[in-house]
Amino acid sequence: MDFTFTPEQRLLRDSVRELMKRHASPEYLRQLEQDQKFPYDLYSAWVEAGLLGLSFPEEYGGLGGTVLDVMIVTEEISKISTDLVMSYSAAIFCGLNIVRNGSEEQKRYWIPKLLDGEIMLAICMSEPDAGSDVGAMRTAAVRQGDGWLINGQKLWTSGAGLKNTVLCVYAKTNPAVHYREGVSFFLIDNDTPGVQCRKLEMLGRRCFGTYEVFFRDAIVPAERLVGGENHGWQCMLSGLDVERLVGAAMNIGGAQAIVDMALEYSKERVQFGRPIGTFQSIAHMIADMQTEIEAGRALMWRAAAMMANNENALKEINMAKLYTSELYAKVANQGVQIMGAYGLSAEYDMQRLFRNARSATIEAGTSQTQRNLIAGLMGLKCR
Amino acid sequence: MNILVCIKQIIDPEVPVRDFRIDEAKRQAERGSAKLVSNIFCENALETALQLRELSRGSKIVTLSYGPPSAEESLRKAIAMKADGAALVNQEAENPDPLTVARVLAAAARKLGPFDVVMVGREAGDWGAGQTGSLLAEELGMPCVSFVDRIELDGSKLKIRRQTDWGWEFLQCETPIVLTITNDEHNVPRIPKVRDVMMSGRQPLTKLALGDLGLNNPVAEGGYYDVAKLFIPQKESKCEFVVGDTPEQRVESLARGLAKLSGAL
Amino acid sequence: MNDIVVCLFSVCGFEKAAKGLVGEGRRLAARCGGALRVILVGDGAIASEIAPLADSVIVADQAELSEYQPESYLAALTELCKIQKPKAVLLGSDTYSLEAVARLAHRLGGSAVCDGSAVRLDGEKIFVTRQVYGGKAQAEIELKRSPAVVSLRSRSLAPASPQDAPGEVRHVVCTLPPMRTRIIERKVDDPGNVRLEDARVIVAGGRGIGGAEPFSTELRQLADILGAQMAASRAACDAGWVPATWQVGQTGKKVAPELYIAIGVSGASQHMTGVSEAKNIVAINSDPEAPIFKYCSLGMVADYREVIPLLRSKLGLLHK
Repeated sequence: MDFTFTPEQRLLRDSVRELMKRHASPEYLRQLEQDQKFPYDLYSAWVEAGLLGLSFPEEYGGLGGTVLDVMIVTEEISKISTDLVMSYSAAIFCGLNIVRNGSEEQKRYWIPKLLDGEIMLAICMSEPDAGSDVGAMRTAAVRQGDGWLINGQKLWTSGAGLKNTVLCVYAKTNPAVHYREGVSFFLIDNDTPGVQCRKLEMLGRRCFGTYEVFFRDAIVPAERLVGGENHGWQCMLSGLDVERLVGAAMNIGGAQAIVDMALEYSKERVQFGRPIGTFQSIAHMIADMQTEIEAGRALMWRAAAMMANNENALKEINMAKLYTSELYAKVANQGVQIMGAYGLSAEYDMQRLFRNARSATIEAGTSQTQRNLIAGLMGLKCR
Repeated sequence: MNILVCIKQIIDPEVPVRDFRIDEAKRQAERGSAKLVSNIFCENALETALQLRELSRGSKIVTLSYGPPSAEESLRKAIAMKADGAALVNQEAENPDPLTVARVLAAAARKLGPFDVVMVGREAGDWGAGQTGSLLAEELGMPCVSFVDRIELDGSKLKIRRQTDWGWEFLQCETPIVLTITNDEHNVPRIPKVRDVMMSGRQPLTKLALGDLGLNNPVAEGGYYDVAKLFIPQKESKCEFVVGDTPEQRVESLARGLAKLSGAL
Repeated sequence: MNDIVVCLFSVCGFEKAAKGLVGEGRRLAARCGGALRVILVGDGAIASEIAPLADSVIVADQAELSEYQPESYLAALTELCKIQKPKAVLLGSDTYSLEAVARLAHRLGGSAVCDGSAVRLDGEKIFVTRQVYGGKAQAEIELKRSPAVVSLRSRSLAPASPQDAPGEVRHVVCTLPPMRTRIIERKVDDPGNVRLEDARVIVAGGRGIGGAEPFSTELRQLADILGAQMAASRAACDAGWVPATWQVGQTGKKVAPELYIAIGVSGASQHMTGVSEAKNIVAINSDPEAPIFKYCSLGMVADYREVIPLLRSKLGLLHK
């Protein structure tokens, strides 16, 4: 059992770390958070370094890397910002979704644009009445001439309103049947007439942003349908493995950043004549936090190794997502606690790390949904 | 042009003071959980070499390290940055003195060369002896220019800029030559592209032992110098923070403090 | 032989650093029971200033040496040191001395140490103390070969006292090799200014400044009110915000001001090792965890942009 990275993976990790150090200083991140702005220059630096191409097939301009490579990159970026990393991960899942389900023509059209940084992608699934209950979605796509007419409203769409962003929209194309047979996947430019994005005020992830998207008679040409009519559900499912593993890497990176910050603080902050890290209550907390992160890491890598080995890793992947997301939110809470009032102060970074952590147990499958899935995979169908 | 860039791998010099430990008996720093990294000035040298290669078509860059097996990673990184070749001379002794290092590098340079330009970092971030380049030049019988930050071609010669205490100097230099490189806004080492990182493991890397260089014992008779003692001096620090409830009051407190300390006002 | 040689270049003048070096040479010579011989390369005008402090001054002032060139000066030093057969050779820590030290040692069959802060004799042995690991530790190095060729930070070393009778001044001609490197142009950055190494008050900016412009506006204005010179950390120089000559640190200037004001400087040991001789350090940094606060006597956790304008007006008022 080999738990070590190869020298290339270590170099990849170190290169991403250096890139983030140069392009995303703590001061820069604070400024971005204050302005609630997305750093397109940082995204361009990722494009230039070839980070986006990492997991895409070579015939579309990619580097043919594995999900492990993407996880390494994701964890490193996440250590700096789990807000900004979402633009990277969105490009990966949505892009891979197109690779898996798109026509040859669509792949040759869209993937190079994505890898060159010409477009960004954002996933558009949830609605006011459809969160965990995805099938309750009402946004509908109706045939109109050669193309489709889309009407409806999407909610909690991360990154939807950014520049040059193409939305990966799931809409009902056959409302009469069960949603698994009646949903389709469309690629819709966010500046299409009839499409309107409104940024929401959220607790965290403010730079990538969370949006509401309105579709009012938005016309979408036929070639924007991916995977065939009514095959949206399969498209959605096909990418979930990678999405959840990469999400786990994001959670671990985010959690590690919190522990690193709390550890530094505990070595510096003096109360009662000594660094607070020398008090058992704090030291034990930090020991526990790091131990659990390592456990999460091990689970994540095992799931990734199984997947790389073409084994059925569905259960382990869902466990990794569940465990690391809850760990991340918990560690964030402890991070604030260790820093005391400084953890609450807007002048320090811990509060931002805390705010950006909270969504981990809600996005890409709530913890409750995850538990259902895992129990189900263990043979327990619960209600 | 054949360019040789010497690279040293060291314990990450960015380890904060608080976490820095030394082994007083062994007279060196303890690695602890710190990473091993390529010395930044060596990377500045490699970046300078890469830019020089762009000016001088057909030039080749070989990177060379005298170090333990871990140093291979520094060389792989150099390959990922697009150096043409790499060689590692196995170092068994711990913390060899600068003359020993220079002798080994010179022997390797003679074996792998001939080279027109040999670049080394001006000093290493660990011991910072700042002698290797100079001694290497003497061993190779080449002239040496130190603190170089820019290189241009000048016919068959080089036009070199180097930093001085008061500004810069431009030198016209013949090759072959040894240059020690210092940091500049233009030689910040490039970050390897992912594609090159993934290919770096597959490129050939020459591994050499001292015997391959005809050096049974590169250490000078009686030694060159020894580290007799290594210690961390105790530092007393008392920082007074400015007082005041409002920002205005705090700045007032700062202004008074500055006026007093500068004595000029 | 127990003589001590001090190597000086006339282009560097006979300033604080050179005087301190000669002072150290005298002290070492006294301990060794040998003579102090100063080798002066270049124009011989300052020889008369040095002569009262040394047992002899050997001046290599032929026309080809009127201007510093690395190879010719090294050749002259080598030839003259070989004749003297000293126990130790001392040089300063200026650019020209630093590039000569190890090469000179090699040619003399000796051992070199750069950037030493102190020299100690123990019987026949010579030990040099210097900062290592980016200023995080100190090492004492024993030089094993003779002569010991040492470059010293000599600004804060005491100068020598004049002797009863000045040393002999001798002019010599050296054999110079053909030069393979030639300095063709010198550029002085900010010629009017006091050198950082001699500055009494310094305002230094680091990565936290965020760009080039504040150096020439806000920080410059603050420096002007305080009559200070300006400096920077390596990060600011590498970013191209300020010239490399502003860099203070392990691989930059070593300064010894009365007051060093560090703004947006994190306080990495490699920077602070260049400030180790400062009397007082004051820091403004938005990061309360910044290491700089361990080195300073007065500190403020704030965004410098919110502090400097107000600070300037308050200093202006105090000035009145």
